[in-house]
Amino acid sequence: MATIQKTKRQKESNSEKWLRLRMGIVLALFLTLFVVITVRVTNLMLINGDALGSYAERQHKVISTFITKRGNIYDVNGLSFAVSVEMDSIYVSPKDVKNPKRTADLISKVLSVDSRVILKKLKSKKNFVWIERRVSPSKTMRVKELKFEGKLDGIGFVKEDKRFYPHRTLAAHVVGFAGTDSQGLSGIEYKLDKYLKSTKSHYIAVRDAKGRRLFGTDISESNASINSDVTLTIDVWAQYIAERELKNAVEKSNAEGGAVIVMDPVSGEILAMASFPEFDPNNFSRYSKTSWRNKAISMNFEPGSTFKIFLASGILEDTIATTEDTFYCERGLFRVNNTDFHDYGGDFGLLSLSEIITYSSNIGAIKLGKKLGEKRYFDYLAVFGFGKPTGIMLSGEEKGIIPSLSSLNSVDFAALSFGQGLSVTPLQLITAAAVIANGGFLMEPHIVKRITKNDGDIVYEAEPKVKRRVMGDETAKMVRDMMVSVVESGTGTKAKVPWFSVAGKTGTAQVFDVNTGAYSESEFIVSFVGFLPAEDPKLVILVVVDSPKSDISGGSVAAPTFSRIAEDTMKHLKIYPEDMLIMGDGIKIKDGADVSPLM
Amino acid sequence: MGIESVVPGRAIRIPKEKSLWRENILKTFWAYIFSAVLIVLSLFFFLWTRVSVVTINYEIDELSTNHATLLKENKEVTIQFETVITPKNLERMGKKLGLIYPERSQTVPVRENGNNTKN
Repeated sequence: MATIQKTKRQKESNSEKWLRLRMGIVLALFLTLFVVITVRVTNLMLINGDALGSYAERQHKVISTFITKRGNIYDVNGLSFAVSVEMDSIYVSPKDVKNPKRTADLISKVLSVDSRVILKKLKSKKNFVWIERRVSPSKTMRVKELKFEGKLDGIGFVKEDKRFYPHRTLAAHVVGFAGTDSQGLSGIEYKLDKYLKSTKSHYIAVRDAKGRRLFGTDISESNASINSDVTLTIDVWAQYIAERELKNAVEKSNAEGGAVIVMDPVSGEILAMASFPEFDPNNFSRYSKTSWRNKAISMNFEPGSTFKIFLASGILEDTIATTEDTFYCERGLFRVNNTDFHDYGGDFGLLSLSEIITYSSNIGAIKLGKKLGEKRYFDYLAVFGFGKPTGIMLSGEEKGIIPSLSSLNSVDFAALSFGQGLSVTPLQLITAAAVIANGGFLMEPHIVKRITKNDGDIVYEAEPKVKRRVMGDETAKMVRDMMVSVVESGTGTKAKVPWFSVAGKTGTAQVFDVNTGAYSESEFIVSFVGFLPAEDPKLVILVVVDSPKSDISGGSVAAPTFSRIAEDTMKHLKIYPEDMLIMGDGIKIKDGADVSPLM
Repeated sequence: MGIESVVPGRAIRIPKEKSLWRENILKTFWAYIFSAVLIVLSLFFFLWTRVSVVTINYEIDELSTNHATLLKENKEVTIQFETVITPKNLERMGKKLGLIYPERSQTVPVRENGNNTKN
């Protein structure tokens, strides 16, 4: 019994020993593994940690560059004037080209480029040479097909943005154009380049083993500014009407060019700004540089008789004379300091102030000028904004030329009285004329309505801005009535617009010939500035035609153009006189009939 | 712990006495196993969520790419449309079709809100 128990205890003791031994072995094994792992981790994390970390980073992280497209330019209704489209540019890696001659021949056929030019590029010693940038999609497709067929070696494609102007010549002088590298070169493209230009932003993303970027793993993003879109005050249809009629007027009168501006007198918004000759910004390099010029802001011209309305405003505002006061107009010939001045509309005798404007008497204007005095006249020129740029957001604006008061003699001042001997820009002239339409307030003209960032933030929004009050409401009304007479019975009868009362003034100015040092007898700049409806002006329109050959008066060239632009633009803007709307009130409309306007 | 009984000349098999130590070891063992299973399950759950996130990320990335492509197509079509409906083009097409603008006398405007128009 005792032996059995002893044996049993011995067995138990052995089993326990064996268990302890096994556990010890397992523990030792685990401890060894733990030590090994700890050593390895220490090695990886502490000793080689930095090097391995950066190695892993290089494998997993990728720096992506995000290039935003150049901002768009829109008209007031959101139609695109300028957009960026993605196109392929074709490049070559010359060292990879096996058969340069055959490659050059194939590419030249597709791109319509001299094969010798391409061959020269293919034989270049550089590693990367552009074959052609921003190639049309159809041509790119054909080159890609050739490459796919294995006929082209070393040829590659890169996506690049190209500026596209869907309306082509329309508003080209305002919108301007951008160069090959998307930098603004002219017009709004240049002036607002800092808002429009494309921006680069870099961010670090994590990629997987296959190199795919993991969404939502952007680790950092640079603070690159977001580019913006620009909305203009220009209305595509108003612009089209202005350009169409300006082109007709210039071509009909064999003129050299011209400009038209359509403005809202109350807000100072420019609805249309046309300049001729025209150009297509999609292919601007094919046109002469002179055609790129926006004459509406850069053309310094002598305004001629249109200027008489500002002289009359000064006379009436200073109460020097009333509209009924008469002046003797010397039967068409007046001599000032041995210089003869003529009236072109007739040999007038006594004319009232109102009639001087209606019949555009130069001699009457000279006498009015004398009454007002040089100093006051120059004061009025300054408050009307002449001699200074208007500050519109466009590049290349001129400020006009106003001679200094001290340099004037009596002949110069006589000429200044009827708008000769000084220069203004079309924009200055229409802005000043808008003062009369706007009850005496000078508004700041603007062509940019809004600048909006891509994330929706508004960077700039134009508000109607009164620069100053130039004259009283009563004076403005009197000048307006005189301008109505010009259209009703004076020199501007061809500016009439059916159903609307129109106020306006014609201008025919001789061009100063720098070669002869005298005014030309054959070169004139004709103009018409007016607004309608006269009693509550909605539009001010200026038409300037440079050097017409077949007809040389503002009343016969610019006034009819004004009439057509005014009629169509009013129709487009759905502005109808009350009399016409009353006629429409009698019409019974069928249910569901479309009563939207025709334009 | 078991009752020991000995019959002379015959050995009786007596069940082994479980020691307290052995029981404790077993309990601890099962506790370890349970914890290990729990940890493994948690790891699997964590892994599953990570894999799901990555899979969803890939799907979102693909959809974003599709979205961008569609936006690009939409923009291109809009540009094409705007190029076609420019006033110059519309007038040219109208002329081709023999359309003319109505004279002023041929049109009567009606108020847009229709306030004073007989219905």
